[in-house]
Amino acid sequence: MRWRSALHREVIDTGTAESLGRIDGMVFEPASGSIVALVVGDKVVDWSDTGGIGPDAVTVSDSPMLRDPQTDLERAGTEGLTDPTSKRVFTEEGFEIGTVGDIEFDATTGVVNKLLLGDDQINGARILGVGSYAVVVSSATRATSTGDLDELTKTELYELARERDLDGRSTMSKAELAEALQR
Amino acid sequence: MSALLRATTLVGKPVLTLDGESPVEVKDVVFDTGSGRILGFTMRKHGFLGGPVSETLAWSDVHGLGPDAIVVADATKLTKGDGAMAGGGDVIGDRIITESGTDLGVVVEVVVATGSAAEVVGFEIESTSGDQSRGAHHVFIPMPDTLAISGENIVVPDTAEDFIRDDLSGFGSAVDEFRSKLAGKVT
Repeated sequence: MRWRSALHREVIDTGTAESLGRIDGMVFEPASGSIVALVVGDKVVDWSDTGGIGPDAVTVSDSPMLRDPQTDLERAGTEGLTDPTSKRVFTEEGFEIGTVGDIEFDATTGVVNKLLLGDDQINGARILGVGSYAVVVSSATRATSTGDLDELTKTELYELARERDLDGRSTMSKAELAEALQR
Repeated sequence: MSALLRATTLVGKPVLTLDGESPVEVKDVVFDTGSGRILGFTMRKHGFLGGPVSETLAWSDVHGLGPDAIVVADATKLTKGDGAMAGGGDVIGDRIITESGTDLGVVVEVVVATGSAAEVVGFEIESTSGDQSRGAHHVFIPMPDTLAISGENIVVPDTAEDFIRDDLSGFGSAVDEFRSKLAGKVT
């Protein structure tokens, strides 16, 4: 599921059938790579207390599950600081590789699968941190050491090709770059 | 990644923590005038009118260095006082002399290899040799692991002259060849 389509979806108490508000944000935890809570107004609800994000609404079984933020991470979440959307993306080696347009996540578990950057994407497992300034992801070199070139963005593949001085790199597609680098 | 860049292009780049915060940006690069290496960075608040901050960032606390940002593990790495930059200064303007006494030119830039093992790999110099009719001529010369430096002069091995390159793109491999040649001489 895309985050932008989940945002503003209604949150409904299944006990009373009342609307508790709308999804206003997320509490994203880099360590687990997942959305651990949803922000509703100035309150949060643990992901595990919801029935996941349904096609039309998010359900919670009891309204007290909507509570005040308690941890620093939750407070940052209510201020919109932990949401990667619209933030610039840097690798831990100081390369800027784009801006997050949207996020693809698992509607049942809250695990963030991908950061979508224009026509490119980054594996959610590479996220090291999300702050007020930027999203920081693990280096391209780590991915190449495991042979996972598919997980890199075109910008990163191009940078690697430039380093190895591969001929014709400027006209190559993403797939062609990955193939040339694997040789 | 280990692309090469000129050290002064780091000025104005954000200093970024792994958790995505950037309290400051680079104000200046401070060189160790005793070794030619980078000692660290002075910093300022973001923006053109950003005021300087008294804290400095030591080179040893850099997690990753690239063309777009300097990354540190966390904000505690940004709390060192001015004292950490003692003995620091500029190597720009220093004269490069070979061991046998040839004046190769004056340092105009320091070249840094980026990545998680960032380091100074050489200098861009305004050459004093060669065809002077073409005017000031900038070339790149690799830096050995150890070198004699006085604040005015930097002495490099004679073999460094064989690895001078005209542009930055072929310079990376020249640095590698130069260093392996020097290493070979020792054994």
